[in-house]
Amino acid sequence: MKRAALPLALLAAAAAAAWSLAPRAYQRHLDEVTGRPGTRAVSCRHCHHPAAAPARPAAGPAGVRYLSPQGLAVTPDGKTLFVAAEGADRLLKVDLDSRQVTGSVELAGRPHGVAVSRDGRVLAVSCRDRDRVVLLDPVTLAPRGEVPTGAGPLGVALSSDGGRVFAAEGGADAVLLAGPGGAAPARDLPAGRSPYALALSRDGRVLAVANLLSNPSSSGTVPVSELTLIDAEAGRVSERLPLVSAHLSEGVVLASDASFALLPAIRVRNLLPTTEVVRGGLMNSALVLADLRTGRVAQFPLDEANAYYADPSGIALTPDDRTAFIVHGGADRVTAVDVRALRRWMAGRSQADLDDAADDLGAFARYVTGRVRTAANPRAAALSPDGRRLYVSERLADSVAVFDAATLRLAGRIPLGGPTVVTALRRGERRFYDGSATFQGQFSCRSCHPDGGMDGLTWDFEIDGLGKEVVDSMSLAGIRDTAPFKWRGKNPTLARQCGPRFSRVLMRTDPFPPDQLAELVAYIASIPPRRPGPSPESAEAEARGKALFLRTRTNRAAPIAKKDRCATCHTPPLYTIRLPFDVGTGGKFDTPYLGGIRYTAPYLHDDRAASLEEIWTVHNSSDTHGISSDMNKAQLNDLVTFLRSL
Amino acid sequence: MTGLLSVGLALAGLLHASPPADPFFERWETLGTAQGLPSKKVLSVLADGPRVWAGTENGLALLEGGRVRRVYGAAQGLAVPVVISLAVSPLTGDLWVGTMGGLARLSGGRIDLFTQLNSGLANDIVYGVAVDGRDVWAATTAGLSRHDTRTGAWELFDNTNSIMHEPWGYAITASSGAVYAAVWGGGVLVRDAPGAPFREHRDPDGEMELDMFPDDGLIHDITTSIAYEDGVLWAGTYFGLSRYDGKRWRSYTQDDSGIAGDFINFLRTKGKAVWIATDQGVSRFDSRVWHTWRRKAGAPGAELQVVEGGTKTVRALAAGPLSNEVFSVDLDRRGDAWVATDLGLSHAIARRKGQPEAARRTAQ
Repeated sequence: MKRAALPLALLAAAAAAAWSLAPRAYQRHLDEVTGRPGTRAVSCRHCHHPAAAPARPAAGPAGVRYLSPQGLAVTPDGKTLFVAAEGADRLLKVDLDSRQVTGSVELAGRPHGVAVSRDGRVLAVSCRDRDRVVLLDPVTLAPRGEVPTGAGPLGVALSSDGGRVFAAEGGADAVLLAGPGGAAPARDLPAGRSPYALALSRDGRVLAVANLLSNPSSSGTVPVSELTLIDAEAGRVSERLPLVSAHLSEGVVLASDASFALLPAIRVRNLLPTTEVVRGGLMNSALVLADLRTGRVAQFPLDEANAYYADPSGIALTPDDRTAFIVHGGADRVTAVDVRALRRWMAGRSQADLDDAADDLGAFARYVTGRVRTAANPRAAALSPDGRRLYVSERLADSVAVFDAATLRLAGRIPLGGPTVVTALRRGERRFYDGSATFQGQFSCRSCHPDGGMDGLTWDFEIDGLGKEVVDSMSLAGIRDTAPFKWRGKNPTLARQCGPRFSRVLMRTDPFPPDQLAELVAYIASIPPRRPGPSPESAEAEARGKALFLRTRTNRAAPIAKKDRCATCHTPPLYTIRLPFDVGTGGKFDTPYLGGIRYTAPYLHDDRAASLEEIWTVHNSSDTHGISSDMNKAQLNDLVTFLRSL
Repeated sequence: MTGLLSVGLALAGLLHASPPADPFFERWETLGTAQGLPSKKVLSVLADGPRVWAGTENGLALLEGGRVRRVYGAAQGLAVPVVISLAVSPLTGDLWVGTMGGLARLSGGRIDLFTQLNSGLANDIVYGVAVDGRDVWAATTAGLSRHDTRTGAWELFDNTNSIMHEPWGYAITASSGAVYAAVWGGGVLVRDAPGAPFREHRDPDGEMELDMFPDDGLIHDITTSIAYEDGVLWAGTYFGLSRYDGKRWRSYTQDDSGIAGDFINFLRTKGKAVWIATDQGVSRFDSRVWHTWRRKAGAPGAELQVVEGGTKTVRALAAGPLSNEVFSVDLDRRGDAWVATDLGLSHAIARRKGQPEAARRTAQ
């Protein structure tokens, strides 16, 4: 007994010593790593093991790869439907008589938009992650060439003979006009922000562009996106019609004589505190009608008081211009609208009347003629050339629904051949795009994080609704290992953010059940980082910028304190140390992850920096956000070039 | 029939006997604030198809059919609406506007402003702008900037990373990947191809204000304007004009040529001719004949000076430029000249062969 007492006593003494010394060593280590004495972290694992982040999600059974159909196009003879299976890197060919998939071709880079020329001879598919439009033979699916594009092509259109290609370059804020094979000089026309969908008039003269995000503006102002109109023959932007308080347009159609355009949008009121969700005041689905002859624009609510149809996405217009079909990705619905009723009503009204109509949730009865349910997350719509059949891609069900356009009855569903098993990850993805969990179904996660990204707006999340916590909507792409979350870094896990915070503060409804929450979190954690493609032209500038990012001395060779170095807080490879710091912007904020930062303007917690440059040129005059005042303009340009490459 | 023929022959004889005083222009019109310009001081002018853009000290004016149709100022997004340089992108039709408050893109009626604070632009004072394919070049007081409109990347060239003597860019032009820049005190910078380093043309006389050996190189290092066409480089300075054909330099001053003045504000090439905006009128030179339009000294009216082969003639004109302080000049697709001066915008209406003026005006 006595023999055992001594080691035990020694052990206890050592433990006691360690217990008393560890905090000091721990703090010393933290101080050293961050260069900021007094920095607090939850535990060693905060930095050394991503325990706070969810485990890498189970991808389900081996080999499961969903098709996730997006864009649709019907051939002029109405016999064939082409479907861009974005999730499986394939283009599918569907025989519409048999409603069977009769062919497919592999297209790397997430094929998204599809178009068939009016003569039926050319098929074009945009590949958003490969920055190209692929041209195919519609009969054999044999490749005919490809057109390089700016970043992230989405919607695509072809001239009637297929000789000209148009692509919405979502990551470049431009629209590409090109002749295949370099027949004509390609040109990138400035669009709105994140152009998403295109519609070319029958005579080939007008190209209408729907843009996802609102145009850059000062923080705290009403967001305004635009309908971009292009003179397709001259290759010039002819007009930009402002869409006030509207954004996230993923579809657009033109009347047969190009006299008007229709596009779905979300009417957004981000300047109100989110508590206003109880009054249906935060966002509504709307159909924008733009009279292209007068330039007048009206927004018509697609929602009803206390019944909302979230995330309007694709749209189709019958050949006689009478009926528009809008698919709601967040409500699994299609809404049919009497376009003639809209135009009649609009014709005799003042602009003030039109502006008032945008908020009248009782107005739907004047023009909504029907609604029909779809499978999960409908995204795109296309009509047969005779206007009798409506096809809707059901992205998270790997199917295409076929509706009788006159009765809006389901005429069939075309399974595209995706996996039959539904994984937890897929269920989480459905939850992400589903508005049913929110108060009255007003919006989904996607409504602020389109495609897992961000909406470019600031939101007032403070419970008191007094504007105390107006913060930037952050991208979710690549955030898996970047806990804690929110700008204040208050939420240690995604589950905390998406669970209690989400339900009580934002949604005003019940929290997700635990199993659903786990699936949702797993999906969010699986959203890949949005990486810009390689830019050989900028390689030298990137290398110089990286050296500046990692530098430890100023231009005058003075040492830079550890706390003032870029890489101390934005530590590679995540480019965040996952701790909050005060960089002179009004308190301590979590160090944001920098992956894909070129796509997430504006910057800083409240969007006060319109561009990356402004972080330093405007908001770092006292070197509180790293030492930058010694840099000359060329160096700052190099640093920004490097950051844009992350 | 015979009578008509006789009248025609007689008129032809009269015309042959008395050629018009001005072989280029029938008459001159003027535009000022009364006609809708936001300021009488017109610093830049650019013809773009049927449209003419006039950059003034207080905004940008769009003219169509000879009339001011629209004005863009601070409210429309030009933070500092002193418009000093203009260029149109042949690819997109967008107008690039150099101002005292940044570089603006006017596209479909929307103005996007790039400044030294919100972008990679070297400096907000943009004296010169040029578009070459997807690239937009800006000559600023702190260097030259290149903006790739597809990738959004900015590149800066100044005295710290290029051969530039000092970073004050005054004018720039670019074509097929080659770039030519006029740099105050630094002569002419040339980049022959994308990615190549800049090289320079300097005055061999260095700091000497005297052009000791004429035609030995650039006439002076204080270059203010630049133009390049058909393999010929034109450089304007405050001390005369230089021409370089790739082998030989040639200089022109008020003393030894027909140029209006040695203080050159702007150059524009049109075909084989170069138009020179100076502080003493505007000149045209086609490598053989000089024509200079200016106000008469100390008297009302204007005059046209013609210098050819050492012979100088001066012809009186009923009208001419509003002022001899000419900041910029351009010719539209009809051959009309638009002359930007400190007192307004002058519009010289070109003579047309075989079409009476009245009919032509109706056609416009």
